[in-house]
Amino acid sequence: MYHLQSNKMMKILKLNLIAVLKLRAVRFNLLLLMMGCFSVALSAQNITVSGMIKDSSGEPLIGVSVQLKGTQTGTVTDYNGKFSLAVPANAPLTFSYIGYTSQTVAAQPNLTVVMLEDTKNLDEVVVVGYGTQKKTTLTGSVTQVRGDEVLKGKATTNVAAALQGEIPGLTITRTSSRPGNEGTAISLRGGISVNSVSPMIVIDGVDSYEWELSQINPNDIETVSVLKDASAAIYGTRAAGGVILITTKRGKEGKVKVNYSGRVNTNVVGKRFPTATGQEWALMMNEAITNDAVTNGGTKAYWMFDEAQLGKLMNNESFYEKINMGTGNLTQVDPTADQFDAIYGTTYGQSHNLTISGGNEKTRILTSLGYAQDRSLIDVTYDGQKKYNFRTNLDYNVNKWIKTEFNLSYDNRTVTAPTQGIGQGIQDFYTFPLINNKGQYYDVFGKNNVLAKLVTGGASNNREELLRLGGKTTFDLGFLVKGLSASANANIKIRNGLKIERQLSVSMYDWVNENGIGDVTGVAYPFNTFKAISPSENWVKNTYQENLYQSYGGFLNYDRGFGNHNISLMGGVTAEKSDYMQLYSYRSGMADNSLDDINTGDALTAQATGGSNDWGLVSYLGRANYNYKEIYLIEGLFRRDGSSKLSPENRWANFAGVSGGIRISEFEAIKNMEVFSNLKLRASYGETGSLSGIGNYDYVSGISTNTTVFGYTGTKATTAWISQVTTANRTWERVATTDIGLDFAVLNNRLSGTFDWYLRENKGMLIAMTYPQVYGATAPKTNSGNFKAKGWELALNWNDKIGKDFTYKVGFSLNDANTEVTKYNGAVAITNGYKNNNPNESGTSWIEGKPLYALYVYKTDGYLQDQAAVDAYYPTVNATGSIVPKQGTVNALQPGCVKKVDMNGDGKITTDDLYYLGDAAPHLLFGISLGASYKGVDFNLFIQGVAQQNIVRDGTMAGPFWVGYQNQNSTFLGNTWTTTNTSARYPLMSRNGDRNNWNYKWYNDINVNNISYARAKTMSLGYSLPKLLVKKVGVENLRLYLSADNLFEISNVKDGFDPESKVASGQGNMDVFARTFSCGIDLTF
Amino acid sequence: MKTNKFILSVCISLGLVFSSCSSFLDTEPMDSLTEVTYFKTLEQFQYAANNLHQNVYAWNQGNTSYEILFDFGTDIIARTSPAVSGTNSAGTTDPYWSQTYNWLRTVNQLIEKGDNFTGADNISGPMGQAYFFRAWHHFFLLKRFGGVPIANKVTTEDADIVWGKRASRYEVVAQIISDLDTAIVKLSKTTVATTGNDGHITLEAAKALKARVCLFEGTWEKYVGTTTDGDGTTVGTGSVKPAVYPTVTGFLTMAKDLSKEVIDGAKFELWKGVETVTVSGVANKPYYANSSYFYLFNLEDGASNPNGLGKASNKESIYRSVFDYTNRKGSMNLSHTKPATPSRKLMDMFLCTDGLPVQYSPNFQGYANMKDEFKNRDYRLASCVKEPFKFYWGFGKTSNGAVYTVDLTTKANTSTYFYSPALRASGQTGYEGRKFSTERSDRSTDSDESQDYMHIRLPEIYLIYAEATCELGNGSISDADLDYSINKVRARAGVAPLSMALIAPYSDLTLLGEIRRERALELFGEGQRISDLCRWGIAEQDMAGAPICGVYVSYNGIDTEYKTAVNPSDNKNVFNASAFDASSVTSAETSVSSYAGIAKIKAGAVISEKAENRVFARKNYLQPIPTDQIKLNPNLKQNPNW
Repeated sequence: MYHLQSNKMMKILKLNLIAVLKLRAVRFNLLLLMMGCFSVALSAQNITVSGMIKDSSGEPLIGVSVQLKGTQTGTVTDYNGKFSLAVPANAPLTFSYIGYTSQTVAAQPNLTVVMLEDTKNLDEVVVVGYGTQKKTTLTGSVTQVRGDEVLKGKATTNVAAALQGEIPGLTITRTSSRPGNEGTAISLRGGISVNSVSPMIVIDGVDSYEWELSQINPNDIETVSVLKDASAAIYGTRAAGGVILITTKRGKEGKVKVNYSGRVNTNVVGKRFPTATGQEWALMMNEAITNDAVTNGGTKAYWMFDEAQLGKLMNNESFYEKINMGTGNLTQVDPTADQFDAIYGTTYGQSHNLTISGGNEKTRILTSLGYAQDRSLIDVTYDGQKKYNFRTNLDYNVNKWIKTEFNLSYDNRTVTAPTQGIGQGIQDFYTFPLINNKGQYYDVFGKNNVLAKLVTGGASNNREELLRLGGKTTFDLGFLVKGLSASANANIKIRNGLKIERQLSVSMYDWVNENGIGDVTGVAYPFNTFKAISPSENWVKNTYQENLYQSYGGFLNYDRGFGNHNISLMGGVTAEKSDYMQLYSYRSGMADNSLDDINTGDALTAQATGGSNDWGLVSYLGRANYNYKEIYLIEGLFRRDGSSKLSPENRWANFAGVSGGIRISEFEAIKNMEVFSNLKLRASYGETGSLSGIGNYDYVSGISTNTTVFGYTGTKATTAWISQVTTANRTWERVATTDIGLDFAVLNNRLSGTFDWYLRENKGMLIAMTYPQVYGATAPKTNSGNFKAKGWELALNWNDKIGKDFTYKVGFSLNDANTEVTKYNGAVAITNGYKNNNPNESGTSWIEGKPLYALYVYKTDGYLQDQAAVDAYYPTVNATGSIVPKQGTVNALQPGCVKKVDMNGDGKITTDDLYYLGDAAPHLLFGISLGASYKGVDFNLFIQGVAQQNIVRDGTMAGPFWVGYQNQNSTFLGNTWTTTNTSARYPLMSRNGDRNNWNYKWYNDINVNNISYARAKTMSLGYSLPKLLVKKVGVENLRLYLSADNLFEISNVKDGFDPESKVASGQGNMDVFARTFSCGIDLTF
Repeated sequence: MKTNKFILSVCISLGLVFSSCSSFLDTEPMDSLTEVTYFKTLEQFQYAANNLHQNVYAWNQGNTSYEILFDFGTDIIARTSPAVSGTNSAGTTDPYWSQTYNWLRTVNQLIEKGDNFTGADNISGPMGQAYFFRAWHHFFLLKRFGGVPIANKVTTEDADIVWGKRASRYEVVAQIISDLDTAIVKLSKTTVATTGNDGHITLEAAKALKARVCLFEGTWEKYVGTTTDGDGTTVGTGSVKPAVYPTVTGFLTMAKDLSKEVIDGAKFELWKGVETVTVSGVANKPYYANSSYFYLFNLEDGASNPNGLGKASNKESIYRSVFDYTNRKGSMNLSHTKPATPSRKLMDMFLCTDGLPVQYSPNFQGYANMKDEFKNRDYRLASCVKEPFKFYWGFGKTSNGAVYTVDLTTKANTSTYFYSPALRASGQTGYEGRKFSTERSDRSTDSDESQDYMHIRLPEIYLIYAEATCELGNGSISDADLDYSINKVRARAGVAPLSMALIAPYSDLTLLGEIRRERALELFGEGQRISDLCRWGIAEQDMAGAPICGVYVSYNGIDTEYKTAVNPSDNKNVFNASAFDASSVTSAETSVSSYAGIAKIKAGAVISEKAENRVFARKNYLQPIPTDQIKLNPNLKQNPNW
């Protein structure tokens, strides 16, 4: 019988694999799922126990595990909470259920057991590298959260964005709330290198990319587990940034359960970006040119609008006149034109998930289907994503000794975004209508009609398909050696990405008056058509990417207790291979705007490129755990990695970690104090590695080729050059983490908490040293730097009940990290702005002894309050080589300019006077969660924030007239120095480039925003219909809820931006963060 | 039995996993060749040499090169550049420094691979081109910085070149001469004849460059001497010369001989494509006459000029970077930005057709009316500068290009084709340059102009010959030598030949001065002016203390037409008086040159760059070494007085 079933299983497996194997020749080591036929006989003298398990409210509990203690004999409760089991009389039966306290009761023919909710979760199982461990005996710094608790109900379907603030030590930032383009970045414990080393993402044991977090269905996630210390060493070369383990839900024994959860959400504009209105712009312009006239000897240098026109704008008057100082065309000017309102508004999204799960002792299955659709705040055109997710996780016990697991998932996500206009809408000041009186897109200069670009500029569709297939077989070898088991697994993952980018040339039109006449002289003036037909702007780009990833593993486990001594050993081998290829094609001059196929383009413009690469990784790994009475705990980890990315002589490296713990609360003396429900001291040390910054074949120099032209008719000729300088003397970045932690629970588990202190040191950080430019190339990255991060994490939780029905919980977490580049070989010149990772630049410079994102600015000593002060200041700072604007010119300093301090006293202001202000990393990150429930009503609030961060912005909106001919940041209006506001927050307003450099662009201490914020990330109110009521219609659970994401924030950002906004604030970088309101239903039957 | 089967299956499955994995680690690049397998054939060397041809400042190198390509900041152009005005201070970085050394590394990689080449192919062609470019880049560095570290091998991270001192300018010059001599030997079979002058470096180009270098350094040593060298220990490089080193006379003789070789080789000729229009169907043919100089710099396909000539007609270019509308666009936005806009000084430097300067020529018509100064002048004036109230094809026009079958003068006086000067704001000159601005509006609005960038043209060779001969003759040169060289250039410009007799009546005119004038006019906007002024040792006198000016709004106290003219296309005054205060117009006669033969600027000219911003001094002859580089390598000493 087993034979028959196993053959069936093989067929299913094969069927599914054939599709994959057909795609290309895969060296796929299909697991041998060989099964024997074994049967088990149970001993006699049994009684049959019939029982009923309920929760404290009297509801039957389904799927509770019932087990004869110390044996494999057991069952689970059925739909009615009932079970029956043949066991010896009075034998101890253990009842366990996730979220409830386990109980052991002596077997009697009839049993009714009330399970109590476990508030302490001490028996929780935590997913760690290549296995699971009981939380009680865990020695590493591992935080695990349950998917249903932190992900469900949030409007975002991007897991990374949803996890923001939920896990102490994990810093998740986003640059946008546009679905599919959130720009999330994850770093653990402050980062570990100047190379941004992200945590390794492992989904169901398979190495994954960070973007898969936005791909996967959040509803499928059972747990998210983060390995933060030596516990990550089991992942070797890639674990320097920590490891995020994601485990998907699996079917459980019990009746078939169907869960539907659905949600509709609406996104509304949160904080607007601070662009000036037409009137504000005019006021700022007038103030700037008035200020500049002071040094110009009294002449205001009007620009674009003359004095009269500017006056009308300041009075909020519209007009139709020649602009550009009278040399331009007749132009409609309307100070109430608002580009922001024209493109942003309220949008809607929805998501639906259907999960079917169930199974018996032998077979358990979970299948889920998901659909989600959401949009950004741009309401004039579609900017959003659609996701389809399918997953089947199947567990099948072939027999008592062989268990198989099979995972199949398919994700399909299409992100659609306008090709033009995203992040724009700040270049032209808000004085020009976006639509002219003919109903056409209006533009006077610069082709900047953001509405026209968004609506008619074309769109890009980026479709990612991801097929994951995994199988695992576990062999219980207990009959050979008690406690021994072996397992083998194979996984493949196929990613197909097809990105179709379509750009349409955008037509914008000048204003025409009612008669189609545009000139006061009465001469027919054809309105200008900008770019109506420009074949080169009308293009299609197709990018196809294919990635095949395979991984194989074989493991031996030995797990056994000898009295008070418990031993657990694990050893294994894994091998991974990734093959990637891409094709890119381009054509412009499309025949028609309605067709997007590349064939409709002009064949003469065709371009095509390819590209492919592969990498492999082979590893040996092992883990040993020992504990004495579950009080004294010790663990050792080992991994040996070989990577194809390094030269053969440097290919292999070993990593190891060790950790230990003492459960002080289990000491008799402590126990007797009856204070601590839990008290555990942990410590760990381990090494992990990182290959970030190393390309796939960096140890060989490639030859790049391209073409140029010669001759009289542009004949193409090939060009070739050595593409980069390489080195074979390079190996992994190696990070040593020391972690000391304390877990505690007091007041009968009502208050629990965890504190961790850590030190992470990167010895041999990969950096491209800065050589004199005479070298003539960028030197290859070598292991030439050291790096250190120190920090701590605190998590506190309070759980309690008031009366019978009111339960509530309060959670608080706080963490901070400080980094330092402890060694950097090679001198560097300090310039102003960000160092040790500039968020705005790819190439950057490193400063030894300073943290990541070190910020260098000029110190200021107030403002030059009058001309006498200016005259007195010049001689003290104006020696040769000074960057001070030239005295006696129109660019000269004037009252209201900052007084930069000559720090080194050499009589001039140069980059030598820059000083280190601090870093720009977020500090004191916190999360506050509040939860309460009363009868069927539940309320949850999660607040996430940063208590301290330095931000100095770059780009158009960073200072007044940063770019003299663009729209401005209105928050500066009224906050700049004037003769009547001599202690203003900001220096004087000017359109002079030299003065703006001095006051704004060459950052001063006063330009730095020292920000803090708290954001209500999620707030929800739910109501679960009484179970007794819904049960009558066959429903197990029905919850309705309302929730709000990003409902409000408290922040002290002074320059008008959302606290999470980018540093770059120019055209193309603007984003508005959404507030999202959802209502949803969660139905289980 | 069952147990054995079971164990066996476990072993097999685990074994399979382990065995197949070691091969996972052996990967090799799949989409590019590697250094190990390349540089095995002539073809591959030529591909690498082709790449070197792109690594020069021509079009397409980004906006950083704008200033140096077009003589910005010099006395003859109304476009500013702090480095040339002399107002800059030592910067932390200098893109010209880093970029040039990056390019040199690529050159040296090719030379190194060639030196180790053992194949049967004759690779002397690409090798000679590599040596040419090594000299080219070092010459660029020499002109900008003086002595610099000599990059004559592929440097390692710890190489002396990377961490050592700057070589003296004499050592750099010796390296350049040596590399050019090597190039000349290796290129003996790579000539204009064998390449079809397709843009690849030829033997003739190497000789021409050597002539340019010799004239430069010969005159530099004669007129500037060691004044910019520094002591070599605290500043600069010192004045150490290699043991064997040419004298000034040696340099000038080489310059003369090499330019004669190129001229006598007769491989090149001046382009005279649009002296008269011969294509039938072109309307108003005389309208385009005598404008070869204009069309030469916009030469693309047949639609780029009224005579339907393409690039193949260009026999004037000795070394050019090739661009192509389809395959390699210029991407410089030339027609829109009009980079070569003249200063008052240049306007007055153009001779009248009788060969005499404006202050002496009876043909000169004065400044009273806007068009007057364009009359009876060097043809190049009209080719370089737009004449007021005249019709032009080109940028901003609504048609798809120049339609030569239509008579432009029949167009209405709207701004579309009609050029009117604009003096709307102070700083404007009232002149609008034309050189490098295409008449093809379809190629100008998107920076699609794709004319070739000419690095070395035949006229320069004539000018080198004349100047070297005159220098060797201590200021005198025979009429025969003038006719052999510079007068050919003047002939195309419609200017009477230079001769001793022509200038004899005017005591402040000299042959050398007129040769230098000719050089400024012919090479205007081609990036040579500042190094010419420096090597002549006159840059301070010609550049500092005098404003850059534009049109005369009054002359000799009498208002010119600029004051009163009304632009018929918008009925606005050309001159916006309110924008020009007293400090925006010259108030007294100002000398703008060390050469007395150039007209002084009188009161009444609008000022585009004020005198106080014109502070070029001897220290500005060499640009500062980027200070970051000095911090990284303290062995680099800054140039004097920076």
